[in-house]
Amino acid sequence: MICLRNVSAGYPGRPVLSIPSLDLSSGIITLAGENGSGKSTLLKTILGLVPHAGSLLVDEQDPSALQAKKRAALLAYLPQENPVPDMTVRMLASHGRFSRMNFSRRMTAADLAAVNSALSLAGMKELADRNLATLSGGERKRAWLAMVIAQDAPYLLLDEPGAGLDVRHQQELGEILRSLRDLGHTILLASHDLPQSFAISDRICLIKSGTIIADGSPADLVRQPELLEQGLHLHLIPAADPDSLYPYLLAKS
Amino acid sequence: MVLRYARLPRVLAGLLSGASLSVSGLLLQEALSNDLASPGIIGVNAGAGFFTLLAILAMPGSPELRIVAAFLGAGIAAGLVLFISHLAGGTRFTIILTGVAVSSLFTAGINTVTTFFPETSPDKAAFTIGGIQNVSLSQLTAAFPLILIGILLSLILAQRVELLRLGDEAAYGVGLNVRVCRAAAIALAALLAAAAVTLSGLISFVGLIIPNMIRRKTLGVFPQLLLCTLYGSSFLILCDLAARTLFYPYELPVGLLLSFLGAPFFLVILVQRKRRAKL
Repeated sequence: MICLRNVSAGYPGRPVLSIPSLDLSSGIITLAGENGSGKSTLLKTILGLVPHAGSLLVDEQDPSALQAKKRAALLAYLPQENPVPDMTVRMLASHGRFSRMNFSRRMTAADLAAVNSALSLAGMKELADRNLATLSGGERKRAWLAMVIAQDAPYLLLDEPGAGLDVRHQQELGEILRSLRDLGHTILLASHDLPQSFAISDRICLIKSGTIIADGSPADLVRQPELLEQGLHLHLIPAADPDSLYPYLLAKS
Repeated sequence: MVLRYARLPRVLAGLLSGASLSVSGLLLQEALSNDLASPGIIGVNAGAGFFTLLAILAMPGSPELRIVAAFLGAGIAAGLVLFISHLAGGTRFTIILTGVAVSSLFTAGINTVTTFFPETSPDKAAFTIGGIQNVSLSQLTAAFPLILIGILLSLILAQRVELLRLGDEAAYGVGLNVRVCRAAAIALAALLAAAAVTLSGLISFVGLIIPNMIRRKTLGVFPQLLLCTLYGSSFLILCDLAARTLFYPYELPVGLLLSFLGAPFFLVILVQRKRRAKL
């Protein structure tokens, strides 16, 4: 479990987060909020990339105090911005095994199996030998996701994994995330896309100005439209058709 | 006698300088995520050269001191470039521009020393342009272990250096200590460039041309380092052979020929980058 108590974090001269208490345990948990609300900073704080004050424990360990490899065995991270390095999808996915390798840096049978499994889960097995530069934006996102999956960490921290994807690719991403959840991973994702968050999440934490203003299942949050409107600066109305793609809400600016 | 004291040291110096400059260039390009970086362009060679001349001035008969001084100079130049370019915004181009400025500064230092103390560099042209015609066995003996250690450590570091291609945050996420890895790669690049400068002077462009040729293939850093060692050493020997025979009985310093080859190559990379950015 990820436990935060009286955590504040930010950058020099610019405090961003202030969270009195937050426990993140299992399932797909979305940190939703506007751009600049503190979603990415919260992910980076949990990872140890942004220094914090207060108590932050992942499975009772402070990630910022862990050795790099031990931390990577616990927390996998997909940044918001991904470069297009000159490598194949398989090479990229193999880098997810770095923290599991010994000094000789040779891939064991277990490493190869984990990479193949990650490529399959991300739907990239058939594109495994293609160079990233030759892939579409959606395929590249899935290639990066394969690297994160290959890391085989219990907690996956994904920063805007669906950004820039069309609806079909967002649905595919949702299916991949649900498969990972069913395999026992806890998935923490930052997203400013409310419909997508409602469609795939088990729990949504709504962040505004660095603090959590609403927290619950999508069904819980739909009963608090005033908080959603406050957090997202949107007017919300219930969807007429509960079987629509986004069954809970439609948002109208 | 000719083989032992003239031909053999020259060939060995070509092998060692070519390999170490190429590996140094590849490490810098990977560490700085910049295919325009090379020990000649970002001032590492000039820093090493300036401190080598200072060492010759202080203790003329000590090749070991020259290597230590060259490494110190290369390290100071690399540190200066990184620090100043960080202050200036840290983009790929500020690193190159800062390198050009730092390189000019140390080159001015080299010219000052060779003007006031001509005995430090009897063959000034060979040192500042770069050449391997006057290398002695004692210089080779001093540089060889460092180059060997530098290349072996680079191979050990290869997989970590490759993770830098993922970007700092993703590399951190998979368990890399990014700052230590980048600093180690730059220190190794400085060590290799320094050792090369004590043998061949301020040869430019080997560390730019060879890594860029190799990086056109989609390969990991480990095989690229091996190819750099192979291609870099062969390339410098072939260039030296050409410099020796093209205008026979006159002989060009190999650095001059490399400048004729390297400068257009640098410009081609610049144009290709611009085209890629437009795509």
